[in-house]
Amino acid sequence: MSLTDPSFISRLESLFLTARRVLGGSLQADRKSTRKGIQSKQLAAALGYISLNCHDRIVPYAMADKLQPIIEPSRGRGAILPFLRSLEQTDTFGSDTQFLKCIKELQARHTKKGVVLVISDFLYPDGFDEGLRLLQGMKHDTFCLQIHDPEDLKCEYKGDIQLECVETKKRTKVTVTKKEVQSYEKAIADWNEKLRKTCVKREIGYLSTSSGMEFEDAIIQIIRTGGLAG
Amino acid sequence: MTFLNPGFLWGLLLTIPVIAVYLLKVKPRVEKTNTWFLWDQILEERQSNSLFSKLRNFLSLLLMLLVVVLVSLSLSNPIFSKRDTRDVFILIDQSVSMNGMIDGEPGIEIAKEKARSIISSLGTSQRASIADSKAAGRAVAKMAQSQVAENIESASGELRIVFISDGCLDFELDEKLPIERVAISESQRENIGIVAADIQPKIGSADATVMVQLVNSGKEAKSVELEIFCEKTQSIEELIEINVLAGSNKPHFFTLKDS
Repeated sequence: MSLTDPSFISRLESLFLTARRVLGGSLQADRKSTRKGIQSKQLAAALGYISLNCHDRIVPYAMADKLQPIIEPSRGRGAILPFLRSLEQTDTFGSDTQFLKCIKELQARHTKKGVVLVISDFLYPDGFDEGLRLLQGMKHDTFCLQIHDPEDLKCEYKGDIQLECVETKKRTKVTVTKKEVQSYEKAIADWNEKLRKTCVKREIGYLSTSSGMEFEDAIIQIIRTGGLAG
Repeated sequence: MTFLNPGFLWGLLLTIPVIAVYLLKVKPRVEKTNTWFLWDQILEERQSNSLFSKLRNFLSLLLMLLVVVLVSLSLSNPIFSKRDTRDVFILIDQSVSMNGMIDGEPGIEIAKEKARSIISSLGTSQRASIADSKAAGRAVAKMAQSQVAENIESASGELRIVFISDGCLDFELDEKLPIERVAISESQRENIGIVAADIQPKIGSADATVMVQLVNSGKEAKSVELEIFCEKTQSIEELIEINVLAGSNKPHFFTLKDS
């Protein structure tokens, strides 16, 4: 479904009525064009719509090995359609996500305090801790919205396979046994738990949602449990 | 080590396609992941086992080859012990005493069964020939007594001679002769038999002198009745009771009247 589709916008309208209050600030979209990518775009569209409806200024960025503006800083209802159009046209780019580098770039571009909402799976090879520490130091109101795919949490591979990194296209041969499956599932669970603990420690809002969830439900969950709405 | 079915050793040629399959190797399927760095961490932890992982494919090849070799060898029926692979000549004693019943079965039938058993235990490359004679035992004895014995000695290198008998022999078989003796019964059977007989008509008389020599294979003397049966009249002409001592007896003479 297109982000500029009337039915999608009407869903955003009803979402806006439900939400009562809006949020604004920089918006960064996950670069992946997978289910997580689609979900992150829909969430960004919904949150951006709410912000623009409330006449908040939004600065959406796509994030990979660098920050890439989705649209120029926008404000007001008139920017809704251009924002949605630009968001829809945003595609994946770059290689490995370099979170710290992107945050440093954000720091250079925006010195004024605001609300920073990071929509991502937070599976960064270089980690997320330093980036979040920097965001905290910039005195932004930061919220991490983690979108994880159910397939990422479970290892469905078995036997001899050739693993390929979707970002770098690197390949390696692996024999996946029960032990590897257990190690992987523990590693991903530990990673997500570490993100949650880091956010708690740094007083950063944190919410995780699944790419299999309907985006309206995800938004309502975010607003209700994330403390983004009063 | 010898093989009873050496034809199955051709199965070892199956190792060639096995090696070919190993060298060709099936390319594993590609799975894309966006958690590469996590897999990288997991695989790093396993680096200590990298030597094993390198050897694992080689070990699997060795295992496959081992299976092929073992299957081929087992089908070819190897023999590790020094089994007698000579051809067999079986001689069955068919003397009258072999008609005697042993546990309700004629001795000759037991001898045939023994011969069958020997033949079935032979390997596929071994041959067997079988002979029977009413005078088999005597023939063997003659062989033993003559120069043929030397021939038997030399033949025994290529031929295994088996003599199946009830053990009731009227002669001594040379123990040194390379002949396997197979008894049809575990216990030594007692037998009394005529080993020599003759009849001479008396000149100027209708009577005849009969000579009979008996042998008793038992350990005790036994009394037997000797019937002189006339085929022409189909009647018993004379009935004589003879006490047969153990072993070979002296010739017994008696007169047959109006013979």
